[in-house]
Amino acid sequence: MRSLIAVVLSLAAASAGAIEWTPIGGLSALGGVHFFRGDRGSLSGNADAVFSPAIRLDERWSLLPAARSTYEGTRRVSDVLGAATPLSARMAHKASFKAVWADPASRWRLKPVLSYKYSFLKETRDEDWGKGLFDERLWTVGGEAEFLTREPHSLRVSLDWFDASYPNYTSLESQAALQFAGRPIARELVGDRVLDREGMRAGLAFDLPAGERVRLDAALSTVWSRYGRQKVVNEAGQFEETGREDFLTAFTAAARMPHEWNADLRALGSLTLGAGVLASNQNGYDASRGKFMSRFYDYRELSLTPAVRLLVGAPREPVSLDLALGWRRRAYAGRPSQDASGSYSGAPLTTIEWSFAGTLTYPIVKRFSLVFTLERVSASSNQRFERYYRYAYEATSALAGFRWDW
Amino acid sequence: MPPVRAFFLAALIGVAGPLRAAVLREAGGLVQVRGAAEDNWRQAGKVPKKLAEGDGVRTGFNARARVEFDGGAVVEAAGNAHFSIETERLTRTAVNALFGTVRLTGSASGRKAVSVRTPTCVVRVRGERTVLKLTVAGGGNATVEVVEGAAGVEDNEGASLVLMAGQRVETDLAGLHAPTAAPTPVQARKSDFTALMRRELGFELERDAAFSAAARETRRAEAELGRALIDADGRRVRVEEFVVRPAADRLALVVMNGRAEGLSYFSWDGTFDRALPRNLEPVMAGLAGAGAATAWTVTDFATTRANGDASLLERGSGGHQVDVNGNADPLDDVAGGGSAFRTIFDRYGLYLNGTLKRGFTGVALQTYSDAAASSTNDPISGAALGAALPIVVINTTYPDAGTARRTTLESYSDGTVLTRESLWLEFGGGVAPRASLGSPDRNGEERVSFGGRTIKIVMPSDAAGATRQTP
Repeated sequence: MRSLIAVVLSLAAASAGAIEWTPIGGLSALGGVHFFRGDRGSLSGNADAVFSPAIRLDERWSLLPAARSTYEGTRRVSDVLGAATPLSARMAHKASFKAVWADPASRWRLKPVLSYKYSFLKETRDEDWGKGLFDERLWTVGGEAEFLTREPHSLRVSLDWFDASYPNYTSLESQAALQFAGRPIARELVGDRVLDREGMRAGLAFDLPAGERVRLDAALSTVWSRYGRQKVVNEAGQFEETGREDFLTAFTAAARMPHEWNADLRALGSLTLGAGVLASNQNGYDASRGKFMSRFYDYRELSLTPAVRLLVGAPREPVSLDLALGWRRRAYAGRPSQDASGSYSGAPLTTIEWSFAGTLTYPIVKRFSLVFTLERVSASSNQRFERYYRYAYEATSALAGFRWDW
Repeated sequence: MPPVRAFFLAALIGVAGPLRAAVLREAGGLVQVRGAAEDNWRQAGKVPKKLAEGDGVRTGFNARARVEFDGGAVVEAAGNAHFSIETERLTRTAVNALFGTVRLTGSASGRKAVSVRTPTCVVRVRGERTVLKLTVAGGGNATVEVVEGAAGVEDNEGASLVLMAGQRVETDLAGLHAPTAAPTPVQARKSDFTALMRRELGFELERDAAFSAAARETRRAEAELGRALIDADGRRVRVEEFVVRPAADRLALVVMNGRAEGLSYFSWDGTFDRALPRNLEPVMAGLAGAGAATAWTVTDFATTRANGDASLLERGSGGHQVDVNGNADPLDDVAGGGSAFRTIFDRYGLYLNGTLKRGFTGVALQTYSDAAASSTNDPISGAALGAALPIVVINTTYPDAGTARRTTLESYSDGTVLTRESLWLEFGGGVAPRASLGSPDRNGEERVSFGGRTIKIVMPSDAAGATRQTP
């Protein structure tokens, strides 16, 4: 027995000696304030920390276990702003484990990955951490295959299975069916955890040089979600046997081109075109008006983002200024717009969003930079009924802090 | 050409020596060659292959090429590299490295100078034998690393330095950087590994973005549907509104509320004189009244406001449609003139926790002014009551000049007090200013209080108003 233990220990020691690891990480902390329709939110901050002890097993295999924690006390303009909740604090913790197979003699890289993420959201004063209505747990298992076309350019194909659950969200109707039994206040087939979903995500991404100076990159991603407990609503306002299924597809294509005025002033310009489609078999039903809206959630979205990054100073540690202007239009094909009193018109609901973002990154010492960010968004819509959600607003976020990478 | 210029040109050529040939000696993997006067790349084909000034060589993934020059200089290119032969003369060998990594072995001890040009520097071999590695990245940035011997490096600004074995230097548009010790093979491997892992970590963040977008859409849809609201106290209240079809001639409009302390609900359960269509839009549109008699008449209804331990129930029966602008009572007229059909019920009762508090009866009533207050009998069932109903006084007030708040107080002679409060809410919580009273753009909250209990219901629509059947 002792000799067996000795053999195992010596093998472990030998293999441990061959293994190399390197720490990779980053930390950013920014304090700031968010304005919505002229109302100033309280001073708060955002933080993002990521750490990974990357492990090199041998010439071909590497492991990338990673942990990431984020906190967002100052709302960003990319958030769901129309809800205009009095408070918004978000926290997320994610652990992932990725293996990378990269044989130097092969153009292929294969990467199985497993991850778990727990997101917390506080939107009102009476919600505590862990009790938020939209707290989410997300499991993913999948992998990516990367084909090196011409280094560093490549083509990547990925596929993931996921399971997303909302531990604090159970439909009221299903609760009522139990609590007020005997009264007709719940429909047949009503589900309980109606936001829980599982499904697949597929992705395709590539980048390639176009000519001497231009680089093109594009990404297509689609998420198929199956809501096992959420049944489709029919034109009578009742549930069908069929469950809800969504396809959320996003496509972006960008062209990037560098320009050099002199050694101390350079720029990287880019133009990004985006398109998004949500296709769902779920319908909508306005109960107080008896109004049925087929494919209520479906939308199509287009976006265009010209951006420039100005680099000033020494090429290795320049001061950088990122400026981006964004335009985004979304149209809900199955959702008619409403007037201020809620009456429906014939025109589909559309929203238009203009945004601006500027970030100044000022390096102080190696890998440590000061960061200043200003974001502004202006949204408009033909939807005049804003009892639940603001479709027209202007919002601004201003943040300042530091970033440290190692 | 003037004779003097021709003479000097001939002299220069004489000094430089005649054109010599380089030889592509090895080509492993995808190696392509382009002649100086050609536009297209061609497979290198059989080796050895002679190369002339201006000829280019490029390698594909994991490929390898080796070019030998007169005088013994050798250039070896790794995969994904691109270089060309700038000069190959008796006294000078010069290579133009355009992209990727090349390894140069050469000697300056003979009469022949050996150099490599990159977009940001020129590297010249010094000494008996020199081995150097040169990597050209995007933007022309170059890294020169001397493995053996010595090399001179000069940037585009004219600054220069001499690199010894084991040293490296980087150059870019700004010029030469300070030379540093060249990484050991272990360090180089670790550096490459770190870069690869950083890239993979970046991909992980991209992958996360798709899932985050799906979660954001879920949250947005819930907000747009008014399912996650803030009540008058600034606390989370969840709301669901739906229609239940208990029978072909019945429908129930239900508003459910969920708070930390539990559920509460409003429901209007109506029975009609005939089966209802599948599409309820025309039925709902006529529920609060119409310019002409509707096809469906509500004959009985029950409106309930309840939470776990309290309930307010209003019941009516004997419903029939009446043109209230055409009856004899001017007090119930609807503004605007013309016909205005409403459903009037012959029997009505209000119950607190199942106990009848007030009601009325009538026969084929044309106006509620003709109804008789119930006293000793249940108006719906007709059953005799144990005791006469208490006398009630009802008052409606607007108690706060600053906020949109309406209070209806029902004081019963048996000491019961029923308070029904309507609040119009600020977006994001709190009570709206007085000017918002009745605004369709505001959520409404009802608070029904009696016996120390309060039923709070936030209404996402005007469900209570649309289904109100009695004054």
